Amino acid sequence: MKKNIFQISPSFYDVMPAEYRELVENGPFEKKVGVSDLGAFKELSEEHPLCAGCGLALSLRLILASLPNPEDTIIVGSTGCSAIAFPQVAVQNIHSLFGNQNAIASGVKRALTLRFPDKIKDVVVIAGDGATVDIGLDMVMQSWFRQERITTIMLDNEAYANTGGQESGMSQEGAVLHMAPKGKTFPKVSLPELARASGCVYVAAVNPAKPKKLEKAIVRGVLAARELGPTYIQVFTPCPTNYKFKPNETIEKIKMRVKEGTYETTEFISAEAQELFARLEEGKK
Amino acid sequence: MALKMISGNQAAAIAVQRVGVDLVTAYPITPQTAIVEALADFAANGELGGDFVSVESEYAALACCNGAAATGARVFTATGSHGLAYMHEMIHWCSGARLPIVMVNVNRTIGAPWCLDPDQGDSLSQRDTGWLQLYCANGQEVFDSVIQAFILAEKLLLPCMVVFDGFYISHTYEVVDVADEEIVRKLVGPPAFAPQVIPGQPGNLHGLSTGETQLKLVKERHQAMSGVPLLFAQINAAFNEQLGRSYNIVEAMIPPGAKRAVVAVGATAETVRWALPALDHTGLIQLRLFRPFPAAEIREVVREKGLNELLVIDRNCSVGMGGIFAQELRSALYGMKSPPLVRSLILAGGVDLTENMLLDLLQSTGPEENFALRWGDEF
Repeated sequence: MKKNIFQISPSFYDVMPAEYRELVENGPFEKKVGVSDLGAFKELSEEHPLCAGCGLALSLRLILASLPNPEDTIIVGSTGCSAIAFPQVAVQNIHSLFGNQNAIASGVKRALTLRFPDKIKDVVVIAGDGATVDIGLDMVMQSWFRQERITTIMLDNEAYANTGGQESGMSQEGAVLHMAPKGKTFPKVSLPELARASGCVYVAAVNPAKPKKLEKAIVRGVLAARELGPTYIQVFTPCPTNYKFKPNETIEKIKMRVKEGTYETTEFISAEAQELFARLEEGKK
Repeated sequence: MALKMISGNQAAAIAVQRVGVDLVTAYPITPQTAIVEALADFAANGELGGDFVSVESEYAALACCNGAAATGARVFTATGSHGLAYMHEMIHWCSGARLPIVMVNVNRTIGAPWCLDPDQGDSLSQRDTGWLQLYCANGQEVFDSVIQAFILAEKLLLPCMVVFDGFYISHTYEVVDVADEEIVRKLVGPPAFAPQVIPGQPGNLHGLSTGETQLKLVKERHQAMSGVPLLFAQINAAFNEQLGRSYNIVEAMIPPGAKRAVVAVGATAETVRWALPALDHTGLIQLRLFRPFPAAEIREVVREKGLNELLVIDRNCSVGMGGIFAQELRSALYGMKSPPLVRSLILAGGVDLTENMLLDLLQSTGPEENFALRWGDEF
């Protein structure tokens, strides 16, 4: 799809917020940008309402910069911290309810496939850990079972951060949070393993401390979903506000957790995805 | 004319096929299952015109419809009872999102205890969700209402629920004129509503809003509903031209001189219609619409015919207040000069209405009856 189809009506130009004008004119569309180009285009307006040092905001920027075809992508979000930043995002997105994001995305993907049979339309779910692994696990996994061609990205800050820091299925065992004053009593859910067992053709756990790896995972996740079937990418996005560390320590926290082995980075590539990636690499040469 | 001996459920499914939809999402629940089964067959034979997806729950079914409709697709799902209750959050959301989704709800009691009989409490408990609600009295009305629902929904950008009684209609075989695909598609036309999500455009759909914004949006939905009577009349004029039949929002069958009428919806209205010759000086007011509530049309009938007594049959009960149609009716009549006495018979649990019940009820009169409830187990 050509980006120039979408232009602000000249008669409304002067009343559109400057931030929106910037997103339209300088968004990531048709530029073939990546994470190294961040700052050279506009993927998210500076005035987004997420906290200083938010691992989620950083990861969201990296994800938006990594999308292979932002001009042909619909993002489906869910309730949580990311939902309050999505109105400031350049890529077309839908706020679903809480937990039904993968069911909505299934409908979007199927309808886009029918409406644009000859065109590529990517549907990417970006939701928090609570939305993905707790309230939405049913609809997330069922979309995988059905082999819906959508990419599911979890922004894992290991808590219900938007409601003030309560335990989630992704919190570590023993984590002291609201509603878990004596520490969480069961271990962090291993959704990458569940994703693999549920039919995802590509699964990765990445973090914003390694932006190039994150970019690669997003690109692979979207391309494999486009061609083959469901994909899952888990992004570690620590929350300074609720885990009470300084905003400038977010990346350090990630590195520390990876080093101590409490946050695994993994990648699973199914045989068919392996073949697809090899074919795409071959095509580039 | 294409007459077929079919069930209410089949009538609904054939109507959807005749209209042609982009996506049907489905989850089985008695007594609607036959609808989605039939649609799966249509899809498998390439006769649906779109995609069919079996999902894991009613909640996911409506969520999936929501996503598809946001891209401008015409969608359909069907449910009943606990399935509808399970969808509740999405039911509100689809209306707020102004998505013209059409859903059939086949009435079935909501427990506990587990019960399959056709109480209307499932659809009526979705009263305040901003969906249009059409009620059908027989298989022909089911077929026609499903078609009309797509037109109403897409013109007004409001979701529409087509409701009929479990078993009494869903599983009863009647002769139905299932109009040809060509005629139906001409009546309905292709989906003409604008997609809400467009790839490549910065935009956020349904993100955080303010109370002030909500107030404006609710007002817009309310005003959109006020367009139903005129649109309904236009649709039925076109229907009459093409198919030789049409409907009114409020159907009044009042014999000359009768000053009282039974007010009923769905299958009970059909029962009363057949019993009318045996009832002394009594008419029938059949309501086809619950939302928007046809208050003006009812007042007009009451005024014009000089009715002084209405007996409302409610196959439901708002516990602590009584029959839901009776409440709505009293509210609609409030402020009239000498409003009619409104009596109420409650057949909660979907209990059948018999001619004896009607005869017995119509014998007792008096102002003390105005708020007295009569229960279906007293006969």
